[in-house]
Amino acid sequence: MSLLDKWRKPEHQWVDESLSAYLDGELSPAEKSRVEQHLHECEACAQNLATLRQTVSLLRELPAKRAPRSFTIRPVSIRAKRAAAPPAWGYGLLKGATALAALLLVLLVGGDLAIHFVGFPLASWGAGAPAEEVAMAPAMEPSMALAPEEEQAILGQDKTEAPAAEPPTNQEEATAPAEAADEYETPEEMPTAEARAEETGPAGTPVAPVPSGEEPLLEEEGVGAGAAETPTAALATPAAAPTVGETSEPTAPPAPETVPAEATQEPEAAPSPTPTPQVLAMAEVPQREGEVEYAGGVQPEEEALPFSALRLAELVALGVLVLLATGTFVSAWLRRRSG
Amino acid sequence: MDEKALIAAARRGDTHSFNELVSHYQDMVYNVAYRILGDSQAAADASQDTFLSAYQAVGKFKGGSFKAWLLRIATNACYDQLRLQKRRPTSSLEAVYTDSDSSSHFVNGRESPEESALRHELGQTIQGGIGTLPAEQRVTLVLSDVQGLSYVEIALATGASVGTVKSRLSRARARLRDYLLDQAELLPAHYRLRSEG
Repeated sequence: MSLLDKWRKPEHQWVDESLSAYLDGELSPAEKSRVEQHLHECEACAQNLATLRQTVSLLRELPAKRAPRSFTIRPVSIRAKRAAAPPAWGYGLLKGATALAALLLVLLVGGDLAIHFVGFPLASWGAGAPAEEVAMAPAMEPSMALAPEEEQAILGQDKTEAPAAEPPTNQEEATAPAEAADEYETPEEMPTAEARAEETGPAGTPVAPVPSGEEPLLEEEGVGAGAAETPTAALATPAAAPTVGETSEPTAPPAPETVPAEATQEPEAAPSPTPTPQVLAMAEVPQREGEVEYAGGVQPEEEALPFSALRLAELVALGVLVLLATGTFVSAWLRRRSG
Repeated sequence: MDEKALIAAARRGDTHSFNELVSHYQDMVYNVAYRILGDSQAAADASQDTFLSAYQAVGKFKGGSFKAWLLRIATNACYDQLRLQKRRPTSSLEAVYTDSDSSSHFVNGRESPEESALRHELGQTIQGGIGTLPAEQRVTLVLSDVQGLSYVEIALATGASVGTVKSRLSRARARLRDYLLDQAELLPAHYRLRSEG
């Protein structure tokens, strides 16, 4: 291909595309002379111009259509238009509500997942309300152990006010769970377990090196994985106890009470009947952690409550979302149908 | 007709004044709509929608060319009708070839009935060719070659730049030309496109 051809091809294309504007007189003088010069040399472009001119001429000769009727405005037609407006407004509202419901569901599911896989602080926050009652209700003491450091700190405060100075209260507290646990054949273990569980508070300082996330795991282990070998009824509320108590052996010492084990080294009111199993339990802790994290088959009632509330909220949000989405689709379909 | 005074009155809510504007522009709006849509019923619907929308929006009219403003509303109404046609494609094709509106004939006292019939046939072929164009090219072609608007007016009416109008029009005309060349044997010999040499 010669240099001239290379130059000519784009020139031909440019002229061909400019013929329309050339016909309308919409080209600059320079462009116009460029087109005219090319038209002298290129027969194809000259022919294109002729047929294009005819096409435009035929279009301009088309007869003007007259309106078949009057389109003047009458109040009726305005009202008709306004009557058609609400669906459009409702559609917008539905769309917005659907988006909000979807966002809510995402947040709820996200929160649920976060509680399950990321943060126990979240879980304990959810279980915060029952845990606070623990200070007054000894039967619920275990939930204290399930809570992270902050709640232990609260317990610690309570204990520092009157920790070992009130051993009788310890015993009083111990009797309460004992009564509850009597039904589950753990009469002797209960008081001791309770007493130790209580001392987790004062013992909080030595326990501090243990990461906050681990403690609840340990306790869960006692309930979930190690249920068969330990009298973990003490860990559960009376309501949750039956599930555990059924399988538990009353004879075994309170092995999973690792935190209390530290507490027993404190001089104050430490019943600590068998320190050795506790130490053993401590040794077992790291290996069991992994299992415990996903065991969760038997969970204390306090923890289960916020989860189920969350699940319920998720279900409700899902239901609302499905309803709204259906409404939106129906509304969109109706709008399309009515044009 | 004092257009400015009528527009001012219409903006104050005077329906009578607005209706005078409607009477003045309704043939133009209907003709543009018919050529874009190729269907008298759809064109009537688009025209009705145009004037209703214009009546509701006339308060926001900020001066300039009322004709271009009205045509902008009309082209939008036509796009809506085209979308509807896409969902119900049978009606429009039928309408192009069965429309027996007498105004589609060239009205010329000296024209024989035969010649009138040939022109009618030509009109239908051209309308069929317009119908093959993409919507934007179709609108631009009709506003330019049927309605006779300048590039600037078309740009105002369609919201496109003058450069876009120029290229759309060029492509639309070339495409319609090719269509008519393909249909040459269907056209009366007198109206066939031919090179002028």
